[in-house]
Amino acid sequence: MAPPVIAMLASPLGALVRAVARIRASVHVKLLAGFLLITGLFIAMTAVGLLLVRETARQTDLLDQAHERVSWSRQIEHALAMQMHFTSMALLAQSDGSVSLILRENNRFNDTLARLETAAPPEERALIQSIRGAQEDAMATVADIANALRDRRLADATTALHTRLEPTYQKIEALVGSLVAAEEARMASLRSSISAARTRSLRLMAGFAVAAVVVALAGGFVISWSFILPVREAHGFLSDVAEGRFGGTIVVPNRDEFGALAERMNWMSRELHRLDEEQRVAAETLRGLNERLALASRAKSEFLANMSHELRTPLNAILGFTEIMLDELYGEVPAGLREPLVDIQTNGRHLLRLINDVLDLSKIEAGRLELGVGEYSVQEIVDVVQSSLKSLAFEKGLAFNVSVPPEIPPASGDGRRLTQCLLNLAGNALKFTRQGRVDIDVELDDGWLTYRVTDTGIGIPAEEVENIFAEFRQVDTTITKEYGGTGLGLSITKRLVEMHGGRIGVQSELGKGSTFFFTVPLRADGGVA
Amino acid sequence: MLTPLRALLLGSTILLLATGLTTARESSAGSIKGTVVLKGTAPELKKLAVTIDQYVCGKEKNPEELVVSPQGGIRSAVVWIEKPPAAAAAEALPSTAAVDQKECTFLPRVVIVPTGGKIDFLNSDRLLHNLHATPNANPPFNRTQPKGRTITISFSHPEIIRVTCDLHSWMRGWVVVADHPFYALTDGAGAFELRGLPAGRYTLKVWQERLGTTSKDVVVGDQEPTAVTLEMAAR
Repeated sequence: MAPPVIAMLASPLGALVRAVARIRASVHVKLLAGFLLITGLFIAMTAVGLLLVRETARQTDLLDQAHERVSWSRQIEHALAMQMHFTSMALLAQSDGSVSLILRENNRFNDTLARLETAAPPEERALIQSIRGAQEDAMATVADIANALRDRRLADATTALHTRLEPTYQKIEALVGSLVAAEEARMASLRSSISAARTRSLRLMAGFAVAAVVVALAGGFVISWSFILPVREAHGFLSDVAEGRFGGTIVVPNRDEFGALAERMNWMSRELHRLDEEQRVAAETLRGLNERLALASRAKSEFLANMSHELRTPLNAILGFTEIMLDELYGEVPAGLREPLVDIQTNGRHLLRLINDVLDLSKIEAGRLELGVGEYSVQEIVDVVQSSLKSLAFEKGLAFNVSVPPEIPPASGDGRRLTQCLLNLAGNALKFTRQGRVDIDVELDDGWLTYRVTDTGIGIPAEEVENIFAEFRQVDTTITKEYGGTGLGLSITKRLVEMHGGRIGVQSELGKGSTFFFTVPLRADGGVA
Repeated sequence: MLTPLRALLLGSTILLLATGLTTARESSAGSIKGTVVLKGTAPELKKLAVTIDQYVCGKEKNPEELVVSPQGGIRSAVVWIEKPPAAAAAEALPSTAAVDQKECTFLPRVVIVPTGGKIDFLNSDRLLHNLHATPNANPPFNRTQPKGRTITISFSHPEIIRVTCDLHSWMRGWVVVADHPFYALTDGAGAFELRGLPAGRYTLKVWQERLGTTSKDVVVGDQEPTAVTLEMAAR
């Protein structure tokens, strides 16, 4: 974790993170609540902003209205001045036109006053009523002056002007003056209150914006860390599990999905730990058993190897003497004895082969067989096999051909054992083929040698292919009787090939023939056992 | 005016009592019930725009120089008999009429007063009006009038007088000074009635401020009110 985060988690904000984690609500609800909180703040900010704008607009309107009223008041003052002027003019000119001008101005005054009265705030109504009262006096006086002028009563008109109209006008002027003063005072106070409201709203909006950002950041931090902390815990825990350290537990304050997850993880950890322990015990038991088994197996193999060796000595003696007898070194063999002697020889050889095979297998299993790795010629191996089996093929009337590509270089491996392997496969092929042909071919591909024996023999059923390389296995016990063989050949071949680091395989179709092959490295070092 | 008329009525009653049935039949006056209608289509009259004193007068005024009902009846036309009968028992016209000036309009627009009668002009508006008329036979008048003041003007010679206001050009009023009682003003439907007429042949005259004067002869019977329709051509 980055240092600032650690610092923040140590602060009261960290306590808040844990408090939020402890809230018994789902992650969805928490996220939604956080989102709604921030949205609510922004809505509130917008609402307050709108209210402020509205308030400012209202005050501006009031200011406009006051301004308008001031301008009307000024119009009234102007109309008043004009009336006085026109009245004086009319007294001089005494024409109907000049009289109409006075009347016109008076009506203009009335009209403007009516506008003002409608627009005036309640506290100014009384003042306007006083103006109105004075104006009604002025109206009557103006009418009287106008009528007096028309009646050529100049003295009356002049008197009315001086004694009635002028004082009334002065009164009106004073009233309008105080009205204007009141309106201007109002405008001034409105202006200052608008400016104050502007400052206030600016501060309020700034405060709201800062608060919204802070709350959004803090809320985001608190909510996200209330989720991240358990995830981190879980991550560490799972790393332990991945590294095989079971049985650990995690503690998270969360009472939401993460809390439930932590609980499940703890349960899983306990289960894993229990299973691990059980498995460990079982493995220990198995290992002991295995060791004992291996020991037993080795003992068996050693016994067999020793046994085979012990068996071979007398058997060799039997075979040797039989051969000497058949070679008539002890004198002529009577005709009736020759056949039993040949039988003894044949069966003795068979027995010897059997013993050799068992000996080989035992050696392999006991780990006592070692490959004699050296340079060998593939061509030579094939030639040896061909010459060994040529007569058998000829006897059975089978075609028997070999093919070795001339470009194959000298190979490395146990030539004797590989000869044994190929001999086994080819011998089997000839043995299990009544008619047709048996072919041997060799192929070099990318450092691997493949020896292949193809026959047109009886073939192997698919279900038996798997077992064919196991010890003492032939496809059918009846086959053993008909074709002979120990049933160990393929097994030994397989072991020898595998000791070379190669593999053995078969493709077969029942009644049509089989292809046995093994693949060994061109340069087997013998280290692969 | 009132007293001589009462005397005349009294005289008639005495005469009626003295001469019996014949006299009663003669003096049981007939009447004319009629309508003044417009012939042709009413001219399209534009509303009058008000440019001054809008707070009292409003923004515009309906043109009232010719008001025609949907049936064609003409309002505020004056109907009278050209040569009134010498001895008629007609009800005298009221000798005093009132005309108000409200929202810068004369109410009523047309008023009939008998010769020697008076009109009280009132100003109900909160501004100055200025009554102005220059009749032919009667003396002219030109008076400024503040709110609430009433100006009374007498009319001693029969004629039709146009009254205006110097301050509000659209204001029009008409005073019809009648020299005998057989004058009538049409109502909104253009209807009028002249009562107390002895049977006989008369010439009816009708005046309207825009359409001028027209006349028509009618015969009035004893009993039933004579129905008459006076047509005035649009122009």
